[in-house]
Parts: sequence; structure tokens; C-alpha cells
Amino acid sequence: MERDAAETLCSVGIDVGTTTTQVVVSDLTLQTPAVDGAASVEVLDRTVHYRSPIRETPYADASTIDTDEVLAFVDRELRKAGRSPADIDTGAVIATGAAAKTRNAEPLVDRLAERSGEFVVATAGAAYEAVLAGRGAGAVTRSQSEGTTVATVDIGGGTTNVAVFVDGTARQTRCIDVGGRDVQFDRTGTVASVADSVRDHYAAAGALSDGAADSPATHRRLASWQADRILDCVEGPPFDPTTEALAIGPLPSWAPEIDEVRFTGGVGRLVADGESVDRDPYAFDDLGVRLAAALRDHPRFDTLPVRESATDIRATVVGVGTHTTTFSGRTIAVDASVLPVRDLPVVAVGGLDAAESAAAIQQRTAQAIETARDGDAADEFALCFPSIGPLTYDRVSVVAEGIAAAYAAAVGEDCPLVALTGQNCAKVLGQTLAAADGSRPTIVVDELELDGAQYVDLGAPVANGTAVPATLKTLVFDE
Amino acid sequence: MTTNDNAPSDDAGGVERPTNARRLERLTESHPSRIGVGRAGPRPRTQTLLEFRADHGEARDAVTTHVDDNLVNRLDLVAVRSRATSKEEFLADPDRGRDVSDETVERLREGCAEKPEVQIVVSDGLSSTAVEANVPELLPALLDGLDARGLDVGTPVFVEYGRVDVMDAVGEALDAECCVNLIGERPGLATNESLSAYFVYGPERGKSTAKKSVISNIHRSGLPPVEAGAEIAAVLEEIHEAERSGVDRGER
Repeated sequence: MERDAAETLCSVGIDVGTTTTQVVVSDLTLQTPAVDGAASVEVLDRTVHYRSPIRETPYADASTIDTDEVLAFVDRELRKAGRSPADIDTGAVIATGAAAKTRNAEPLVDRLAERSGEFVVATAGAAYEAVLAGRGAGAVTRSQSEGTTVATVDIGGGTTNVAVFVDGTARQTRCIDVGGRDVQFDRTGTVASVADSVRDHYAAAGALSDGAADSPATHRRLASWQADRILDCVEGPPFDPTTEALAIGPLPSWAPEIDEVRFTGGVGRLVADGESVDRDPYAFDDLGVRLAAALRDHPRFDTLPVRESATDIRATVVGVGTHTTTFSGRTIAVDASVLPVRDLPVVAVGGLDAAESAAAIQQRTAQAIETARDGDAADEFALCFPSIGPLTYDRVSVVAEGIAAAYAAAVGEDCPLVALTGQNCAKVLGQTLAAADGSRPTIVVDELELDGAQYVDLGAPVANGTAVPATLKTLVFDE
Repeated sequence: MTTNDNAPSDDAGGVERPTNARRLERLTESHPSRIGVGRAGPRPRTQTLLEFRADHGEARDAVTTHVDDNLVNRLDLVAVRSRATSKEEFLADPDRGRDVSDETVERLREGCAEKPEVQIVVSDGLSSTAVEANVPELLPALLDGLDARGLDVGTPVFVEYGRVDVMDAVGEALDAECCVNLIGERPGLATNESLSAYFVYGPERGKSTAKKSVISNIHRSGLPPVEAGAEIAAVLEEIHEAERSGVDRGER
């Protein structure tokens, strides 16, 4: 039984974006309830205690990030925050936008995660970023406390990521290849580079060929085309075919009624505070200022219920630093010797409700194991069970029998069994699995939001061993 | 806030023309309390009143009915009674529900293993319904969990008209190291099926409540009974190893 005491974890967030790289260091205060049973470990307070300056993402060449420069920056900022990697308990690194597509993004993110603290995880993916930026901008709390639907529109250098929160939960993401860095200029105002997305989908892209002389009218027209795409992305469906062509991942098929819109990200900040009107349009050597102005001047902009966000340009890094770590339910079954586990692919065992016999459950589990190993034969994966059916003793026994049989037949006996459940049944399922196969290290973690997770990281238990930190995430570098 | 979802909705319960039907619906769905039920003039609507009285009736039944003998037999529980001889006496005289007679002590010693590390007690308490709804799922998971931990478990006992502290009297009679009492909670209008598990290390009559631990809210919409069984086994192991329960374990 846990004391009602608060436990504090130090969390780092590192965002390597198309244009900028940032670090935040935060303290997460955990509340562990005094009574056993149903209650869960909750993050009571998230305090950002250090924000790094926002620096340009250093590139060695157009498709390579300057790794040494990024590592040196992060080290320096952690020192300035008064923390060493040994002090950092948790957190995440994210590569976003065009930075995620660079050749060395994946090893860089892994290396940053590895060296920045005890349980710092590597993440990438536009939809995941959209949700983190929304969380960082306070959309969860806002939509929950007001019972409203809040859309966050994070406009960065390479991408625009929209997340829609209904009553505290992210329900939709909409991501498109539109950003402030779609065109870059050199110091003389000459076009230095044009993004493929513009070349491929903007009809008048021909006027923007590299080395072309500065023509404000041409740039304004492109910015206004970009603004059209962004507003269409926020307001749809239905979506314009061009917006669909620019989409990263699927766009939603239904349109919720949005009560509140918040603009975040480097360009989003310019939209929100109205500075864009007075700025030098080429202040950042890209289209960002013009894009922000085009959005504000757009005839449909005034129909949006826009509200300012306190975190603006830092929304993603704050989300990464304070909202990637969640906590399992308090009834877990863990063989702590296996923890932490990193980057385990998550495969759902679906349709278990309909599988009555242990044999049918074994078959479905075996299928999922096969899917999990597709491509590489590793035994490191996690199975996720959104529902195992009614939570009765007999049902749990049958399910455990089927799962254990599938593992015995297909997975080496030293390999851990890692299961995530949507229902509150980790302890009893873990206990029953251990009885069926006593030698295999077994981890069952419950009450996690499993939607859309591709990978999971699980840390060493916290709160006196009653819960584990978990990050359910995506790792997509080549969208 | 948008204004175009203000149309009256049947789904919003009894509230006519709510200012914001969607928010009202979210509120009423987020909680089992009787909110958003509307009114007829100054009084509750007929439907609301009938539901309230039906739930109240079920709550009263949970207190006044008896745990089915067949269930007690099926679960292999040794059945005894507290010092109360009827529901009325049990409700009117709480002390009787906390103790057992000398004859019952004899019966326990004849029918049960003595000096167990863990003694399981099931009591009707204030909800026989809770015992019937939860113990059949909870008990086998609890026994599995205790077995896996190698704890020596005594003969499970059912105490009719039992209160929380009756585990002190039973544990004392059998010289148990620790006791758990699975007992029906005072029913409310949201559920009459809620069960609690109380723990004590070194049971003896008169042991203070501060020395006891609890897991509450065990029912299908709270902590599922089968998961509670596994959790209770883990807590019993902790108590066994720490040789203490309640505030002595640092609980508040």
C-alpha cells in the first residue's frame, strides 16, 4: 500500500525540427494514491523548469544533420539547466518535419535518447508530433475542463500538424507537407531551394526556380496557396484534392465541430500574435512570415475560433518533455529484471472477444507473433490486448492458456512475454501466465491508451513498484 | 462556445432545452450520479423518482438478504455466525457483529487448519449482494496468487452477520498470522455490489482500526473482482514480509 506521498521525476524533451532545435527540462510530480486497488498513478503537476534558446537545426548538408553540433548543444543546455544525464529520469527525443527525413535522423535520435537520461525514448512521426504539440499547448486540459473540442495547428518549417482533442482525448490528426521552409532564400533574397511538395503540387512553381530573382508578388501568391491548404486541412473533410495529395498519412473522414483553434510552432506563433504584419517578410530567410500573414489575411481566418496558446513555438518540445511518459494502472505484473525495454514493436491481438477456446486464442496470438516478427526475426516485441473478453476467472484462465501455448510453440524460452492490456487485468493475467509458463520473464501492463501505438518503451517501476512509466509512440522517419 | 447544438435532445435526460446539450451529455456520462435528470415543477419527474426508488429498494435488499447457502457450499467455506442471531440484531448492535461465541471458536478449531500464515474470511457485512457478485470470481484468483507465492493458507471461513473486525476474533481463534476479510460494503444508490478487502497482521480482538489496511470499491465497474484477487494476494505477501499492517506500514 502506497503512501500518499509525491514522487518527482526529472523529464527532458528534445525536439529536432526542420528549422529549429530545442530542449526543455521539466519536473513531473506523481501522485500515488494512499489506498490500493482501483486508483492509478497520475501526473499531478508538470513544471517546465528550463527552456533552452531556440537554435537553428544544424545541417552538414541538405540531407544530413550535423550530429556533433546537436549533441554539443544538448549537453550544453542540460548543463545550463543544472542537470546531468544521471539526474534525468525520463523524457523523449523527437525528430520532426524535414529533419526526420534526413539520412542520419534515426541514429541521431537513438543516440540522443540513449545518452540523455535513464528512460529517455526515441520518437518520430507527424501524427505523434501533432498530438504532442497539442498536449504541449494545453489542449488536453482545456478540452477536458471546458468539455470542448480543441484543434491545435502546429505550423513548422516542413510540416503542418493538426490534432483535434475532444474532452481531453486526441481524436484526430491531420498532417500535411506545408511549412515555412517550403522555400528558402539566400541573403540576397534569391530563391535558394524549393521543397519537392511545392514543385510537385503548386501549379505556378515554375516561377520559383532556383536562382530566380526576388518577386514579392510571386511569394505572396504561394503563401496564399499554402494558407488555403492549411485552412482546408483544419476545416475538412471534404478536402481539396491538392490537400489530400500533400497529406502525410490518412486524413479523417468526419469533421468534428471545433470550438477552439490554437496556432503553435514557429509559423503558428507569428499567426497567433499578429507580429507577422510588421515583420520583415524575409526575416527568417524563408516563407514563414509571408505564410503567417497570408493566414491572417485569409477571408476564412476570421471565422475560426482562434485562441492564443501560452506555449506557441515551444508547443512540441514542451509536449515531448512533459507528455510522452504515461503511467500504467497500479495493478501490474512485472519481472523487473527485464526492464527497461525500448522500441518494442506493438502488435494488437484483435478479435479476441470472439475467440472462445484456448486453441482459438492460441491461433490468434500466433498470428500476431508472426506479424510482429515480419521483416526481422527478433523476439523483442509487445502484444497488445485491447479486450480479452469478460473479466471472469474462467475467461482469464482460458486466455492465459492460449497465449502461453502460442509463446511456447513459437518464441524462445528466455524471451520475455510483454503484454499490454486495455482492461484492468494485468495482475491476474500476469499471475495466470506465470503459472502456465513459470520460467519465462513476464510483463503485463494495463490501463494504457493503446490507440495508434506502433512502439512501446517501458521503464523501471516507480511509486514503490506499483506502476511503470510507459511511452506508446510512433517511429516513422520516412513519411 | 458554439451555439448551434442547443436544440433540445432526448438524450440529454430530463433537461428540456439545455444551453449546451453536448456538454450536459458528457457530464452525465462521466459520472454515475443523478445529474441532468430534470424536474417536473418543483418535484422529480416520474421516471427519475421510480428509478431512485428502485435503486433504493435494491440497496435495502443488499443489506437485509442472506448469502445463498449453495454458494457458501460451492466455494467450500466453513460457515459460522457472529454473536448476532438475526439481521435485526446485527444492525442494531454492531459489537455483536465483531465477535464470535466460545462455541463458534470451538467449531472453527474443529473445522479449520490452525496457525495458517493467511486466514481468508468472507463476511456478508452490509451487502450480501456484493459477496454473491464478487467472491466467486475473486476467491480462485486470490488462492492462485497465494499458492504461487508459497504462502500457507488456512481454511476459508464464511461469517454470517459479520463486521470488519470479526476477522480479529476468527484469526485469534485459529492463531493466524494475517487475516483478510472480504466484506460487503454499505450499499449506495449507484451500486449495491461493492466489496472491500480488509487486512490485519497479528489479528486479536480489540485491535485498532489504524492497524488495518483496505482495498475498497471491488465490483464490476470498479476494481474487477478477478483482478482484485490477484492484487489482494500481492498485498498479503507484503504484509507477511513486513510483519505489519495499517499505519504501521506507513499508510495514511
